[in-house]
Amino acid sequence: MGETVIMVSNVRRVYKTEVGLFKKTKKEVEALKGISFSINRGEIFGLLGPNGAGKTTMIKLLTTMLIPDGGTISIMGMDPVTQHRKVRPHINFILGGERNLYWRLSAYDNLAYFADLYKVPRVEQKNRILELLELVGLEDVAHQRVETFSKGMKQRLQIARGLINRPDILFLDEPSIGLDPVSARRLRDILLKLNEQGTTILLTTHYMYEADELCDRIAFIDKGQLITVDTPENMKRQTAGLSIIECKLTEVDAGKMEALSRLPHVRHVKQEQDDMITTIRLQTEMPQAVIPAIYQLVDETNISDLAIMQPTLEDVYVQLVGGHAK
Amino acid sequence: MMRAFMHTAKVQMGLSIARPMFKFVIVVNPLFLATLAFFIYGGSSPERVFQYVVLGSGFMALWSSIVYSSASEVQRERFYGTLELLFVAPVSFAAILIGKIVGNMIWGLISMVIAFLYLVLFFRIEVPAVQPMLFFGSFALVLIAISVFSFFLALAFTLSRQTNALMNFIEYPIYLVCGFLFPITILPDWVKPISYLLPPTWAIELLRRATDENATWSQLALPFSFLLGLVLVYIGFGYVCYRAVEHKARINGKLGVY
Repeated sequence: MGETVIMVSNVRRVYKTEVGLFKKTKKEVEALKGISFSINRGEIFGLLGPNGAGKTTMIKLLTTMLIPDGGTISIMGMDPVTQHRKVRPHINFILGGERNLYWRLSAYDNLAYFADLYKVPRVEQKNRILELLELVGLEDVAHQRVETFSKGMKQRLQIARGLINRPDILFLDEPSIGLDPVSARRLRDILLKLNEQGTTILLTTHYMYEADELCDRIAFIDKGQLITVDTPENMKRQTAGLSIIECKLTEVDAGKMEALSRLPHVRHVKQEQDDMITTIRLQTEMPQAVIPAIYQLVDETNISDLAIMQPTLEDVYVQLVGGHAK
Repeated sequence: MMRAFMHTAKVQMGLSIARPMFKFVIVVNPLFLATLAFFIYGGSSPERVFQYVVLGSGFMALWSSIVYSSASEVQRERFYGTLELLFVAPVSFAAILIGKIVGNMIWGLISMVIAFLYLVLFFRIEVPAVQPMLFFGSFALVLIAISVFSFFLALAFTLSRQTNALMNFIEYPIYLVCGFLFPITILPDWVKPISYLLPPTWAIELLRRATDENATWSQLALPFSFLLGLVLVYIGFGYVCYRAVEHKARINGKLGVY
């Protein structure tokens, strides 16, 4: 096991807001309720959880943007609360979406500006910027204004910006949000390449296959609490004996869905609508008993496909975080 | 630090002038302000015309550019999603804010020059033979004073999300309270203490005295001393406020919310 570079111990964070114009009432939202985990040098660590789980708050605490209300954080042996000026040159972060760049500047000028903000020596700047633009495939549009870029190009430029200081630790908050499959694949390749070069990466994502492919370890958090931390492989082992029946239907109504979820041995049902086809995923330990029951409930002519599959990380997530959703 | 500061000023100048509203504030607005000031004071003595029309409209142009740029720049960064990036960059956030202020100050000076040339060329206003040392020495202090004052506004806007309202609220009162167009002696007594606490009041008074052909150091001593004193107080207070704002922003967690 490598050296621990991030140590989070019993961290709490509360957001306080005031509501009302004249008679103000204070409202408190506890975003993190005592979370602990550690990350080793050279790891890709995934922070997964539903919206509002506290993932972005955790990233902001680790990147010195916020101060915790309780607990301690250590980044490379430094306290980001009191030693934020020492921590900042060693880290960088990338937030998902199209913002976080100067759209009226060119890609090159954006990177040149951030290079100065991160105190990159002028003699190194030009080569480093060109290297980064090449890494993210934007070398041909280096001098074009960012406002002319597609979402994927802006996202890639953000990656380049996040690497301008060659950070020891890179934080990414939902970096692939809104990207098309090709751009998302390219992003994953870049992250793997960076990791091979020794960069420690902490990322949050909603995409389970992305976390499964990239992360050495994953933490599931929900409602500000840590559910579990483990490798994707170990997590999937937790579902040993569990099978997934994926069934594509041309027609299904709410009553039949309700009946499917009430079938004996079915632990969870997930429904996805895609144009004319409804895909349902049933978690069960006894597929041989469930499949005949599906045929009894649903008209055979409505079933366009049916397969038994191994559980994915998404199924583990559903079991741990959304298990109550049956 | 110096490279980041200079680069911020350069980037800021480019970003500001790319906005149509800012172009209007820098190029067209001074012409309106200068015309307005000339219609008020056109019939006065040449000296008074220079002091209230040229300096008054020039200061209004400078102030507008500051209000619509340096002060509101924080809000714009919030909207771009770059405020958080600037805040956690290894370079001090204060250096970035001051770089922005200097960038916009240069545009403000250009705006002043536009107002000046317009008045001289179109309204044939006489330019007094100023004493260079006195005038440019005073002018340098005035620019420092305005920068320090802008820094304060930028700090306030770092914490507040109501920047647009504040920005529109403070533009015109400063014209009046600081005596850009009228001497502050005509203001109600309860307003005057506020005027005396604001650096622009002493800044314009200093320049008015410095443009007197027969000005001496002793005549400038009062506004110069008050302005210098206020600048030092504002710098000291600004440092304390900066530390507090830096800490408070990390507690509030609203730098990315607009």
